Amino acid sequence: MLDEKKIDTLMRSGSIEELLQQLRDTPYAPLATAFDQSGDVQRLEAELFKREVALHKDVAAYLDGYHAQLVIALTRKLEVENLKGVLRLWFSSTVKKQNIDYRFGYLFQDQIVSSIDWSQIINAPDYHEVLRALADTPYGPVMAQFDTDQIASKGVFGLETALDRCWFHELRKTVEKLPIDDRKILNTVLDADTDLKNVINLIRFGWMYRLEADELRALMLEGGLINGSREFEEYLATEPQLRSPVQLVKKRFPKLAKELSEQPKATGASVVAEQTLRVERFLFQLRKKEFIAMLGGYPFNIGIVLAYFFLSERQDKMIRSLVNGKYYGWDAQTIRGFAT
Amino acid sequence: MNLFTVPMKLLTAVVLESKTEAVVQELLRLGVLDFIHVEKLAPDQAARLLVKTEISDRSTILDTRMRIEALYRQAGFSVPGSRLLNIDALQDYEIAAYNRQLDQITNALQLIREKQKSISQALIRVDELLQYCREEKLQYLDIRVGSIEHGEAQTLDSRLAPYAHLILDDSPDDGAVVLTLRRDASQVTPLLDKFGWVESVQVAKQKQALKRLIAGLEKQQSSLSENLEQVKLQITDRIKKEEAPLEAMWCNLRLHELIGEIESNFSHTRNTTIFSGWVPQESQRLLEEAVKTASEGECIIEWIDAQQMPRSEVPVATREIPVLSPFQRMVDNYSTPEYGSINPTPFIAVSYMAMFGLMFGDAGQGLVILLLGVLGLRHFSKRKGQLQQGGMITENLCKLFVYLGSASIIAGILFGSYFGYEWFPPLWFNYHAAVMGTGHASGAVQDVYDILKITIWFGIIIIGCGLVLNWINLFIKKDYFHLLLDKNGIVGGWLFGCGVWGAFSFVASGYKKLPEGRFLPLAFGIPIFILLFKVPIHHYLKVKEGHVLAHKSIGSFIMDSVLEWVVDMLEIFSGFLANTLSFMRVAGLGIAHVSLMAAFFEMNELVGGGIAGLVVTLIGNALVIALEGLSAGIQALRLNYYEFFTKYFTGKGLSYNPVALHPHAGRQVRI
Repeated sequence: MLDEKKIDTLMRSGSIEELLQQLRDTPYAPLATAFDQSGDVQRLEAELFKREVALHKDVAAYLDGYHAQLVIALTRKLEVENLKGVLRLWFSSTVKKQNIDYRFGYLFQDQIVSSIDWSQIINAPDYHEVLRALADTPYGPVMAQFDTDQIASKGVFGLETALDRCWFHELRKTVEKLPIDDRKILNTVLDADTDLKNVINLIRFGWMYRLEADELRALMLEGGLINGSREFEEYLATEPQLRSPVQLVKKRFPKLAKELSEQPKATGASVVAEQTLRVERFLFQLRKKEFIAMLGGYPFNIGIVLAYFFLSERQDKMIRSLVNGKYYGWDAQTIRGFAT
Repeated sequence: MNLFTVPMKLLTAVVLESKTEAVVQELLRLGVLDFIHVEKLAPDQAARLLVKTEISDRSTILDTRMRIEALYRQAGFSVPGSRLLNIDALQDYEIAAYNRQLDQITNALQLIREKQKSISQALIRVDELLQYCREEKLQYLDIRVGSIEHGEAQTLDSRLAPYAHLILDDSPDDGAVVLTLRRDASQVTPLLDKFGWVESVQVAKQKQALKRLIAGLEKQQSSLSENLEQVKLQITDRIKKEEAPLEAMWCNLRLHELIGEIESNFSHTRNTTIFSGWVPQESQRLLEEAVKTASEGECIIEWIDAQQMPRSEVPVATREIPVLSPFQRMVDNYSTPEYGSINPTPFIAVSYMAMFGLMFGDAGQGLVILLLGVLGLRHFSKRKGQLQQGGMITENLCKLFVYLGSASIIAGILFGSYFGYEWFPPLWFNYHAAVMGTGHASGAVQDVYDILKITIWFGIIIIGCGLVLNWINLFIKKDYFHLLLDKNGIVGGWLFGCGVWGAFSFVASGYKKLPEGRFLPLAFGIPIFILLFKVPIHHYLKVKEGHVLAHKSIGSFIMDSVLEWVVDMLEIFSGFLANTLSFMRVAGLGIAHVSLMAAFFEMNELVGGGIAGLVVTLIGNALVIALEGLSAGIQALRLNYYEFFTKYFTGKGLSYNPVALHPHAGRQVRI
């Protein structure tokens, strides 16, 4: 793990080149090599994803039984993200008839968990071919609920959220098989995650995009305390322009409610972005607190694995922000803001 | 060879403000002063002194230097390094001008990078096409054979540039071939129509097209890869072109950075500069003359002897013993010795080699390690002066190989082992015969029990040496309390000696009885009884020295004394026993070494000797050298750190770190 001193040094780099040279003596050295060979910043994103997949696979290899299954289920999140990326490209190319050029080359094309022929999806002439490519994966049945017309008219947003929910459902199923102590830890973490991600969706889509109650209900991740609660039902029942995120979280996360009730600095549509960012930061801080407690607690449970993933993910996010920040010339504060 | 740390002196100097610059340069040139803030010496005067802080300047210098270093690394060059620093070449600097120059280079590189990026993206397109062609995933491809009726192939090529494609129009007989991705068909087909594309009806040409395309794509792939390599070279060349100015900038910035570091330790009055720091006693006169010369005599210098300062505040320097540098690194990795104590380096050198030899006694395999070390040193001597960044193989490691190889050779001659064979009779005893019980063992060492006995005696000697070194350190520190009553003091050592005597007498009696008479009970009883008074004596001495201690009732005081006594007893008896028995690992590793060799000999016989046998023996020896050598090295280090150092090396010293042009290797000084 990179220490704060190293992060500060990276932050002080004047350009993307300087940043990458500073990464040469860290586990992120392959990024510097990739840039040296291509001069292409987008390759770095691909390298980071590759690193993340390799890390998950390494951890899974050290475990066995239900614990290994859990790490594999967590790895599926990466697979879903990759799948969403490929589907977006496929949609642009095949449905919208746009040129996707070399962009497929940046996506991960090896096996993550399921055996998926990524090139079959990207080159699929129609949605049926996409379904065929994913028939033997857990995503097949979910994808089958959509049809070509739906995709053509509404885009892949619905598909993406369905895939997220599918992954979450599979993860919950795997958690149920774990020994009771590990199960408790996972359920606590997942419930808080579920609640806050649902809140983000309710703010973003219920407030900004003003989706109807049924559409919003369909977006919700299973579990957590907010989904199905009285506050949730009241939120859905309220007119979209009058919906209040503060009321939604007041009971479960009073601190967050206080933050959300503070006057946003932004105006207009940016208010939603600012409120969403507040929830995301709260979620990050909450996770950080949970995982630090896990690291200081009993060491022989799944908490250590989760904390490791969290720390590693946080670090990757920092590196990703640094790479983008240095490339686009952001200041240090903005970079740190994106990293948390 | 001085066995103790280097004596130090504390300098405090006052120079006129106008002479400060010259003095700073001289201090940097000499590089022997480990600065401390004057305020630390005279806290009551601190408020009257001014401290100039120009941290932002130093930070800007550092950032600019890092920019230069990033360019060096991009080109794959080593960063200039301190060997190029010359204080006489010091010049004023203008960060803005430096940064402008660096911006120019960076912008030029940026243009090259853009080119590199587009080549890299073109390569992605070609890779995808080639992959589908090779895997015959023709359903993803549109292969068209025919001719262009309107316009040139070159024009079509440029119009197809945003899509993955290949046009082959080099053979008039075979016609033109256009390869694109089927997913791009909706955009590509209208384009081809505009160029009046006419599809060929000849099936043979269609069949041949795939082979031609694979060849064409491979050619394009290799050409793009070559282009990428050339771009990389262009980047290197562009930076190399600027190497001289970059080097000059780097050196000047580094000098200013060091000057800033020195000045950050200065305090000021209105017209004077005051500074203070530690210097090895041998450099006292040299430094004094340098300050006087630089300030043209307008200075006041005061020297304070290290003995007048608290020992814990005096930085520790040890005299450099170049031949023992690998062992010095082992000491540095552990910690810094206390000021005025024994330098552990020569002692770890002897004990480490002895331990390694006992665990890995084979003259043939030792020779291999020695040769590896010599080859490594030759490699390093060829690259002398160049900075070696990272990497596990260092010059010190090669030197260590030479030492360990030599130790192994000597031990191998003593044990009569040459690649596991007894080519010459042993000078001491046959280790292999003693372990395998083959009947060739001679002298006092007949079996593994005798080997175990040797290593236990070896451990006793090492622990004994550690205790004696500790007593010398404590005597020099005038810490008579710990010298007498500490578990590693004289009482602890006495109990250890009596324990050894008692244990060996018990073994000599065939594990039947302890030595008879009153000596043993008294030898144990008296020191144990004395240790009961350790806490009260300590308390008395502290009060006598003027320390104010927390008030305790008689009951809790007695309780404390008894508890500490119990802990001491446990530590002395179980600690020394565990420390001594820990040395049995030396025998363990030695026995494992022999057993492994024996296993490979048996495998040699199983394959019927000959060339196959020779291969087995070679692989066996290589594995033993790699695995056993590593194990023996690690175990010897562990024994030194945990069984030897813990007896006398507190590691509480403060490292001597002077500000110098050329950084010192840790806390060693070459005077």
